[in-house]
Amino acid sequence: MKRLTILLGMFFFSHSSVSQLVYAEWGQTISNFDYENSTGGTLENLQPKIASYLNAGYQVQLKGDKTTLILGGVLNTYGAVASDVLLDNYFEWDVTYAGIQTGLTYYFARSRSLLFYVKPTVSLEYLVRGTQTLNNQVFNLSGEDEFDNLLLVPRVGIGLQYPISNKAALYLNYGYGRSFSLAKARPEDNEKLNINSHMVGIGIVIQLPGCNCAFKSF
Amino acid sequence: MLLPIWAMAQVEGITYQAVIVDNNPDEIPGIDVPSNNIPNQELRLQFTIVDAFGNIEYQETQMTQTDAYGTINLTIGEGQSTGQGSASFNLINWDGPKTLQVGIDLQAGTNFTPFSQQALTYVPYVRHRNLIADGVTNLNNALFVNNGSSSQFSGDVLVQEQFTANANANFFGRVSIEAGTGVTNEEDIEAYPLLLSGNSQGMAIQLNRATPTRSDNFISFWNNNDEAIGRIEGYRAIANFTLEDVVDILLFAEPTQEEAEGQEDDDLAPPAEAPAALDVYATNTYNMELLIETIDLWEASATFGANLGACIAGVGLAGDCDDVVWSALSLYLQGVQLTYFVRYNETNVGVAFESGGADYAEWLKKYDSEETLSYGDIVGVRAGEISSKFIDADKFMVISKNPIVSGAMP
Repeated sequence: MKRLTILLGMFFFSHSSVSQLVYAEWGQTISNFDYENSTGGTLENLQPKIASYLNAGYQVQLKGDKTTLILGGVLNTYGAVASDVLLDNYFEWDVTYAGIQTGLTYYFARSRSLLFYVKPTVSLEYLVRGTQTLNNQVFNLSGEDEFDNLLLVPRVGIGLQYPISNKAALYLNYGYGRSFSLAKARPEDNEKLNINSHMVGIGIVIQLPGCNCAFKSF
Repeated sequence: MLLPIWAMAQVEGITYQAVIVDNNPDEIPGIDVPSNNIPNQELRLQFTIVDAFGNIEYQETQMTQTDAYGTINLTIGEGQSTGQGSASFNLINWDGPKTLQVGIDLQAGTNFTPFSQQALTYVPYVRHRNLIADGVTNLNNALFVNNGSSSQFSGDVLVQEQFTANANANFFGRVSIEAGTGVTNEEDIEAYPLLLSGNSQGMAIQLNRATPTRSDNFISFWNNNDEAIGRIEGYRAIANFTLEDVVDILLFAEPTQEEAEGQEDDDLAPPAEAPAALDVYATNTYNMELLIETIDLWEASATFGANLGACIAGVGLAGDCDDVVWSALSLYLQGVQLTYFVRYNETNVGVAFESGGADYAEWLKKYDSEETLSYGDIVGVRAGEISSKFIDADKFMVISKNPIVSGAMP
């Protein structure tokens, strides 16, 4: 593990000329499932559910000071709830994914001290835990085809950043992402699940020492 | 797809209960939904009762709705007949094995999916329209055939206890009554196996003869050795009246003893044939009267002829031409009298009682049991026995032909 950290540090230092930042973001995810079963049918009355997410990582400021490269980890929880009117069933899903995320933050506007940015990212996530409630029964989703596989989640975010000191800034972020399964454990069925997520969170970005960053002067 | 349960109830139909379960796993994200009850679902069922050869005995459809637990309760027989097989449940012929097939359309349409087929192992219907039992049937309680329905037995019927018919009883075959009543006292009505009561008239016996003769018996009497000992038979004084018969009576001599024996009615079985016409004329009052009337007619005819000839041949010599008129009138009246006599007797018929013992009106024992006696014979009576050979006797009597003749019909 130590060796991996050193390697990651060497990577960052080698690719970022000077400025490094760390960030942490916490917020709520409103996620819903876009599901299609083997026969092409959808699940009626599939409702979104709210959960939390946590992101943290490095940002490396690229040349021009308007763009940062993001490399971090994510811990996202998604969920949905549904019921079947005909069969009188109740369903609820609660899944947590961990993964790595990379992307860019591009500051495109400024108003006084507020910086506006867009943030296209992509994350690679795997299931940490997950449960499914079916009426009065709770099932572990580990090993379930639609959930227990690698998700590629491209996201696009938009937000505004406000400096609270010369070294730190808070930002409010909204992001929308959609997951795509990268592996398929059971090719015999054609179930398709995409998790759509709306993420609203608050984050903080802090300059590491030696960063030639100017939150106020941008 | 279903978990059906059927049961029998005492209604005109089969109670059918089923829990509607969708046993196709319902694909959802993650764990699929296993089989599940379908509550509050309108659906249509199709019931088909099929015989052993796969022919549809009866088919109907019913609309229903599952309850909150996915259960349906129906009575097969109360649905809408599709017209296949029997027109109604009541007309199903339950003979032979039957299978119940159930189809369902969860969309309440007519696109039925078969999901249940099970044999009906018990006739589920108390009021059978047609019940055929190939095995021995035992009823341990009373049997009622209601609604005036008839019963028909192609074989023998044995009634161990009392048999009562509250309405007319018809027997188109021979009826035998062998009733040992245990009572032998002839003065006791219980001693008689056959009792007719309840009306002012007793018993009527109708033969299939327009004119029962002496060979047509109303009642025959037999002893327990199967020997006929008497009879009540038809009687008619004249059957075929011909002039030749009268001529025979006038011209022929009395039959010899052998002929008389041959003509004698044999009272032992089998019943004797009727006497010949000539015998009849010579042996009773009617024929004697007939003979006299006929002779009178001949006499009148001869007188008329003689007088007429005399009148024609010797007018003035005899001067009997007035006798011709009187004799013609006499001939006419005699003819009328004979005609009415015959007609009267033809229209008045009766029955004759014949008995082995009654041939002797006095009902006496033969002195010589081998002796042949015929009607008309004069027998002597000595010490209570009779014989034609007695020269001296206590009394002499005549063997009668018909000891008793019932009164003719009015």
